[in-house]
Amino acid sequence: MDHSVTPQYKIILCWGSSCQKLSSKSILDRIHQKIDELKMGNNVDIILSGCLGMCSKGPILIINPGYYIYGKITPEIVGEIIEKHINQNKATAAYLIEEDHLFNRFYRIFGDVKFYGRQMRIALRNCGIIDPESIDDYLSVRGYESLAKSLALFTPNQVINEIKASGLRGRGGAGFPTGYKWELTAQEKSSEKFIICNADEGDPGAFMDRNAIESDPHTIIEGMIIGAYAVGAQNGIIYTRAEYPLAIDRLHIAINQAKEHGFLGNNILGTNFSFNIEIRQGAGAFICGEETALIHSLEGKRGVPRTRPPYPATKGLFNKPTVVNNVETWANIPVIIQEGAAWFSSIGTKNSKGTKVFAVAGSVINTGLVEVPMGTTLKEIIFDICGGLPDNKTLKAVQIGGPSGGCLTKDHLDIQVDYESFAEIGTIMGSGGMIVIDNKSCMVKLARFFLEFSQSQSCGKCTPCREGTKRMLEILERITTGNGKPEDIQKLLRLGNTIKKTALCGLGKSAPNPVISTITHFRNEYEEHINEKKCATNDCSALIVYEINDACTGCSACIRICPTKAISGIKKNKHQINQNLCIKCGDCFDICAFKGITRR
Amino acid sequence: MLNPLDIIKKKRAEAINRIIGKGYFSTIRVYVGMASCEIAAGSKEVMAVFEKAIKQGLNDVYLSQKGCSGRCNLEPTVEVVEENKIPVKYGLVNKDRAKTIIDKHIKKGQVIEEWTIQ
Amino acid sequence: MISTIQNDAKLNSLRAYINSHKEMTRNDSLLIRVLQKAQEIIGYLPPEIMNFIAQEMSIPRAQVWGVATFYHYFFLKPVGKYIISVCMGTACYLKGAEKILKAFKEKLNINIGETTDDKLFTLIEARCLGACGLAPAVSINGTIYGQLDEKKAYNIIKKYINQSK
Ligand SMILES: Cc1cc2nc3c(=O)[nH]c(=O)nc-3n(C[C@H](O)[C@H](O)[C@H](O)COP(=O)(O)O)c2cc1C
Ligand code: FES
Repeated sequence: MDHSVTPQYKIILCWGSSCQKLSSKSILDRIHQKIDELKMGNNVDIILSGCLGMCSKGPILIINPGYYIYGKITPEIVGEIIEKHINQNKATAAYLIEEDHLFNRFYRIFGDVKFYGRQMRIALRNCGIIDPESIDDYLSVRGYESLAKSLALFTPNQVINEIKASGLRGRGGAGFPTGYKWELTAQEKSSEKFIICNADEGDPGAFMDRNAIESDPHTIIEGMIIGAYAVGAQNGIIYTRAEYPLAIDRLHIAINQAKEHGFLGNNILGTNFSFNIEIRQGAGAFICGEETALIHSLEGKRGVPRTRPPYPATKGLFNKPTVVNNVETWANIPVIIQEGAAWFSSIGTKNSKGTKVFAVAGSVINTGLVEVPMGTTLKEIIFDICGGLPDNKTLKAVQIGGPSGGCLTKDHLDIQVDYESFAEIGTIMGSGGMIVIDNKSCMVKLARFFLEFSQSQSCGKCTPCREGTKRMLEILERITTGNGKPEDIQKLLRLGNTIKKTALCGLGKSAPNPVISTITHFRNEYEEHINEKKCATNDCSALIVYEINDACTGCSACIRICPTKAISGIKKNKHQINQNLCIKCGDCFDICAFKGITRR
Repeated sequence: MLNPLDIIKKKRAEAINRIIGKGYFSTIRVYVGMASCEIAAGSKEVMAVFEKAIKQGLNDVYLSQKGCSGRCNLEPTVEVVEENKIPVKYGLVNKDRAKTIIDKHIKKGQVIEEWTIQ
Repeated sequence: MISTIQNDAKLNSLRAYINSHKEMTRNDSLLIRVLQKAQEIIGYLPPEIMNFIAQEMSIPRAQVWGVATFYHYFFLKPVGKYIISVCMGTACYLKGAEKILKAFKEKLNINIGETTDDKLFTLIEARCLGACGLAPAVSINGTIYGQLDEKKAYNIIKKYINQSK
């Protein structure tokens, strides 16, 4: 006997913008009404999903189990559909649609889970669905169909126009329009051109690209082949971090399979277009994510950036025209070709089309990878999809864009994710790292963490970045260890803005961002550290003071554990801590069974 | 000569046939997450439990690895999919849970609600 | 000239690797790959090996040294049997990676970039290992250990010490 408590039916109603315009809202009301009428409230779960991709047949309603897709439903008819389906086990054939849509496979399995249902999976459509080591699995979900379509129906120029019209912008951080970049390379008269996939994923705390490669490598390869056809490139390179061994293995497997099937190599799919891809591993330098540094690294040199222009699109690898795009950018290409530019550009905001993948981590219940349409608010991502913060913690800040990005506060939760709105508030979209920070973390220390990272990764070529970030770091170290001076905040701002203006490449130009944005939004914390020598979160260990209070029973447990013998006292009498010897390790605080130690 | 669209159509049909040949239409399909994050969380051990069960006679089950669906904090994840039933998604699966999933869910049809991802 | 490198078999396999790409155009662009291969074979990049590579590839020594010292991945000193890389990525940092790093430092009595006297462990920092969901995480020769605390860190070291006995 099955005592299952989960509802038997899960109804997915498309809540994408196109379906919403077509009266999803009154449909939802009607569904609720009908279910109440039928007294089926306990048996039916309703999930509002992100766009399911079948807009032209919307509004879309899906009834699970069985994944019955109903299209073009109306508030008038929906009641009948539900009643027949649920009460009489009969589908209303007139509204059923058979659709082999690219996204169906994902939602068929995951659509009823709120975490996934609210997302929209374009780049990640196959992640967690297919066996990444099986090209058969990829082919079965219509893999390489976009390549065939491009070769059979489009001229290279038409492919470029399609990508241009889609409004796709680079997902590696800067958001340059992809189609225009391709056009620049296509226009170059050169017998040799290159395609590069930037899989050097630099942001420490982001792992979208690794996951996309490990879970669906063929999508990226297919995207690259289409790009090569469009711009006329013969060779492609995937530049990936050496720290990603599994991703590298899977790429090798996928490339070999693609060769066997004639998707790579000479005369692809019987045409006279030929293209090859090889994999190159980075050697552990964050700066090599920057495209000109990456190219130097591929040439066997030190990975230092150079000034642009000329851009790689005209003078790239070995001085030949080269298209450099991020992993996620490539993963979008097959879908755009398959579904068309008009569809793709209907998703998102005015100037930012499609979706963006975020790696959400930190103080949040559901950590993970989230792909949402541009225009989704931070609140929806953090609270609706990721379930908010654990243990009733309160949100203090959201850090976006890693070491190049900035911090937002809870006042920014209604901001819609897109390139422009992030730029307006002084941060960047970045590659997709999103860290949720609660009240327990010190913002000054966090700024120091990011700056330390950028500083250690500075290649040393230009002075503002090499020396400037070092000076900034010294100041931050001073502040977090209780030696800050009143003028330090001003100094940080001045230095930061100078570096932003004068540094050679994006690393230096963005390195001060975390510091500047935390000063903007959390200036009081800086002041507290400097003026009162206090860190309210106790995160800056040097500013913590441990003292023994009256709850001390004199058990001497702390005396025994103290590594520097800073605690003394007689048994059964209150002990004392010698502040000059205390190294603030907190061991006494942790071991005391009587709450006899105060930390402040 | 075949046009690329015809070639891909044929390739897709062949691929689907090969997948069916491997038992795709078994009553139950089981997917185990195998990206490096899943593996770090222990999914190889979980996979081994299912592989062993199949070797020891559990039949009518199609077992496959899959990539990561992005639920970091609930990994390793396993899906049990049956036609005309809502696919069941399990989180935080370890060796013992995998064994229980085989004994209760796959063999007796009892979904273990507490472990499902909602 | 390459007297300090006892193992000729290793040298030969490196030479074979370089020669296998001799015909390629622009083969000097493979320098990083060759250095990676050398490190894979020998474990680190001693000066003699860098000079050897310069000679075999007809690249100025200065360039080989320049490249080898630029990238964090290359070790210029011998490393231990196990390379412990402690993730200092954002997610791990927020979940207490500093404490984990401190625990390893104290237990092994070495600093970042150093190797224990028994040549068993080398300690390095890593950027994100891609296991943020399991933060804080470390990777030891490619195996990832997640959700660490100080105690687990000690146990892991113990495990490897026992293993190598
Ligand atoms: C310091 C720095 C680090 C970067 N790291 C990456 C990276 O890890 N991955 C990436 O795709 N782009 C990175 N970029 C952006 C690249 O320079 C380049 O703009 C991008 O690869 C272009 O691809 P897209 O147009 O598809 O985004 C970085 C840029 C800078 C300045
Ligand atoms: S930040 Fe440590 S694994 Fe990602």
